[in-house]
Amino acid sequence: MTLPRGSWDRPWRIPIVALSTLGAALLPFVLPACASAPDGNARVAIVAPSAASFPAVATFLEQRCGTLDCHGQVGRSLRLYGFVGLRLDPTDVPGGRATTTDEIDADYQSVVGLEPEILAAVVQDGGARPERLTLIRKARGTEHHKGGALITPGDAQDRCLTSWLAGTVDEGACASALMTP
Amino acid sequence: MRTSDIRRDDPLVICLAALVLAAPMAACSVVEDVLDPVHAREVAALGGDPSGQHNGPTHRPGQPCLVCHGGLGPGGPDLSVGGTIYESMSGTQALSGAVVTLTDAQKSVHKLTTNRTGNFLVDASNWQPVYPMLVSLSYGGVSVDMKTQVGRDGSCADCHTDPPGPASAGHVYLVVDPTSFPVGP
Repeated sequence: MTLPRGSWDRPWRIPIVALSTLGAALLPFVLPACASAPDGNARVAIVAPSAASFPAVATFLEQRCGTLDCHGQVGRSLRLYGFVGLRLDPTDVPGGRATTTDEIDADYQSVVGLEPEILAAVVQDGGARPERLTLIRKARGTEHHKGGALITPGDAQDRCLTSWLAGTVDEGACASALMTP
Repeated sequence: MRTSDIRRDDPLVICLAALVLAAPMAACSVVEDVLDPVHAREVAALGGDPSGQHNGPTHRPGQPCLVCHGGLGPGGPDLSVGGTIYESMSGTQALSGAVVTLTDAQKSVHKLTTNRTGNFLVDASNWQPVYPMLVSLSYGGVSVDMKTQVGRDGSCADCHTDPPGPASAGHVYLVVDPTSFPVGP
């Protein structure tokens, strides 16, 4: 008798294939058992610009980006709270009492939490090439931004942001940025 | 007609085949054009018009105009800005005859007067603001400026919804206290 060429002329292949398939199917269930349990107390240090110098930047960001129709919304990755927009305290309303320190802290956490690894690299490089951050690219309009290009490299708004990333906030630039329409 | 009588090159057969193919394709196209699912949900969420007004400049006061008039339909004409003004913070009486002044980032100014249901609207073909935009109201010698700028949304009611809360300042109004409402325009 003549068998057609292929695996059937080598019957020992069939159990090997079957065992391999079974092994592959079980792999996802077996591997986690080998992994150690994650440490619930583990923390990763974030290298971020100063929180103490952030309020001047927050005031600018809040006014420029934090209105209710832009980043003053809970669904935004960059979520900004403050007087002009979304309020952190459920008893506050937009346009009510002045921006609170808790709101500035929440804004800080939002900004530094966007791209922590890239932010750390920018900060460690003394603020060099800040356009590595999506925050900067979107604000400058070099990456698609529904709000369009809002700042120009080198203008007061840009200097306010980039000086903070570089380690020394240009308070004058942040104050001037508030005057920008 | 027997099956054997049908010829593939018969014009009638070709027409029927074309119709059979074209109908579902056309239907798919209509569905894609009209029913962007996200937009369709926004439109559906508006529900019926509680004011009972016929379609037109006075209808759906207090609702976000640009959901239907923002370019994706189903309403027309397309608007760039639209909203509703009320007399007071706590009241629900619409303010007719108020002057709404819009000033965009390039200092272009556009003034409108609210109609009998408090609505005002800007036809997109007449004026397109460059954001951010500032808004002020005046009526009966009382003028108020919006405390914040408008970032990019031409529908007042996207942010100004009732009741006021941490994500909304409530409806747009002229005076806080109804007793301080001016006597006339």
